[in-house]
Amino acid sequence: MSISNQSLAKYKLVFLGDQAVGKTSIITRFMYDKFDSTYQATIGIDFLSKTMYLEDRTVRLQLWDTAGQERFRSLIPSYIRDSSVAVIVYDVTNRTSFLNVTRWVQEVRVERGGDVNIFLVGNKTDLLDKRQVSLEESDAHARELGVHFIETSAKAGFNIKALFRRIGASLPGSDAGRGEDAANGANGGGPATVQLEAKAKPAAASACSC
Amino acid sequence: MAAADEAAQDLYGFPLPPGAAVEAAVGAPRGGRELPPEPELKELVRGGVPPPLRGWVWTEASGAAARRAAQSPSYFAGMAAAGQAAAAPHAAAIAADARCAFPAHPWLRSDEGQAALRRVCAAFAAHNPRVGYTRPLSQIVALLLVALNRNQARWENAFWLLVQLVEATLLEGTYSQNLAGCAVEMRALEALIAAKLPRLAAHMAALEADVSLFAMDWFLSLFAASLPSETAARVWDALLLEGPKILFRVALALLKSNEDALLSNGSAGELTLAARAAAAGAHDRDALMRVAFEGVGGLPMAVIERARGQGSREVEAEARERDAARSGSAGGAVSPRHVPQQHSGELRELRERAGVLTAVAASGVRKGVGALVSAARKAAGGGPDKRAGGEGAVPGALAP
Repeated sequence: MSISNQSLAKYKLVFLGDQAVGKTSIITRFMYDKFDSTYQATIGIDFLSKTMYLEDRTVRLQLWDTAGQERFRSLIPSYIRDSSVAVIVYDVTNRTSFLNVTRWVQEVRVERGGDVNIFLVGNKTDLLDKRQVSLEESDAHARELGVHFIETSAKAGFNIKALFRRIGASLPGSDAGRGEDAANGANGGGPATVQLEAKAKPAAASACSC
Repeated sequence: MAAADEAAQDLYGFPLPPGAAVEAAVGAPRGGRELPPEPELKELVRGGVPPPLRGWVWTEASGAAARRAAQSPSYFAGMAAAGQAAAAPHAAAIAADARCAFPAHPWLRSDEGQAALRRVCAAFAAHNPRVGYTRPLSQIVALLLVALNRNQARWENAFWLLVQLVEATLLEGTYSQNLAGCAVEMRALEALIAAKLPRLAAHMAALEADVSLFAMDWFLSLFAASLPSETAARVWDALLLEGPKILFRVALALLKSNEDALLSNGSAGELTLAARAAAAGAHDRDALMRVAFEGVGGLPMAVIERARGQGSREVEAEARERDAARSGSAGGAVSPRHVPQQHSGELRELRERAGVLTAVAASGVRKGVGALVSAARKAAGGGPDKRAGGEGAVPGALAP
């Protein structure tokens, strides 16, 4: 299978966010269209890859799932920090996980500057009566941070496809374009991005050592 | 022969692919309660401890029995109660992780198994608040519990083994608030791969595949969730006596035995999966340990310490760099009021730790086998364990 994938443009996606917000669940829903409340817990880092068919081309997504616990943060290798897309997940029923989003965004920007698409994802919308973070507040916060935003429920399968469609549309067309489709993909991603938010702007383009 | 009849499970009750060999249970423990002298003991543990003897050999050879003897008999119960109090800081995380430590294992999933996991992890978090609780600990506890026959009377031994592992056996800081010790071990492993497996090292460098992508959980969970359980227990036989050099030997053996497969991968992700698959498929314990002890070649502690010293300097430098980058970006669009915790304290701690680690590496402070055995002996005679300290032990907690 690796032979047929050889020619596809590859994109690295890293999933970040606090512990137990549902990073693995979102990936599992996307990969296998299933949900299981008893996963083997992620220790450190996990890897999955999937071919995705976009409107005008086919790409290979490399998904890196990270452990959410605070103490793992400094161990996330720069290889993964160096991703095209950072998906930062919080739990809409856990206010702390939402407040920590700012720090995750900052973490990614320190590493990558503005050279990365950041998606803010509020997961667990199926838990209606436990919600602690409103859609409006998150939307406003995402605008403030200059990142894309969507709410999902991995359990109910809500908006997971939409999330990855948006991610696909945001991918730089020529970035990793060693493949045959690189030519027609140039800048193809930009305009299709859902304009919930203006294009991500780095935090006051100050001294970024990356 | 407990598990031999059930083809689908290994000795410890974990699911097993068809055809994998099951460890033959050996008779009852010997009458003697004294471990053999060091050279013989080392040879014996490297050959594999018979499963029914594991509880005894592990607790004695590691020094856990000595620790236990140095404390009041109610120490574990007291810590377990404190750690499971409603307001205990890690109770929720422990309960959540207990459910997904080994979801496929029937006993660990049962009410009793869950209670055991929670109790031991909570007791440890109360005993050592500086480490507290982190996910890999529950995986270690899970395998300890099943290897110690799940017997409620032995839960306490699982606790003391965990204490001994974290506070004496493994590199200091392995489970600290930023896992700095583990970061150092990753650098050390990287250096050893470069020395022992240069082709693989070059391939990994070309793919930008950081060793921590696959080895972080090997060193944090001590292979509990990476190797088949009986193979992991076999690794622990040697680890608990000889210390973390065994982790390096086994990691190098897994990579060496599967080098061709690893070299054929074209991306860091594929390489990560291949390394994980190599570990998950290592049912032939004897073959793996033969490579670990013979195929890998000489691995003196001094070499590991040198690699650690270099590693800790790199970890420290990176932390400083990250710190500088962070302070450089402060005052940007990101409002500081949203930042829930200060980085500076964390980084200062990392630096302190790295400093300590450099010192540790320089002085080669890792205790030898002799010290382990003599400590175990001393314990048998009721003496206190002088090797207290280690990682953030609560002052006084180790005093009688």
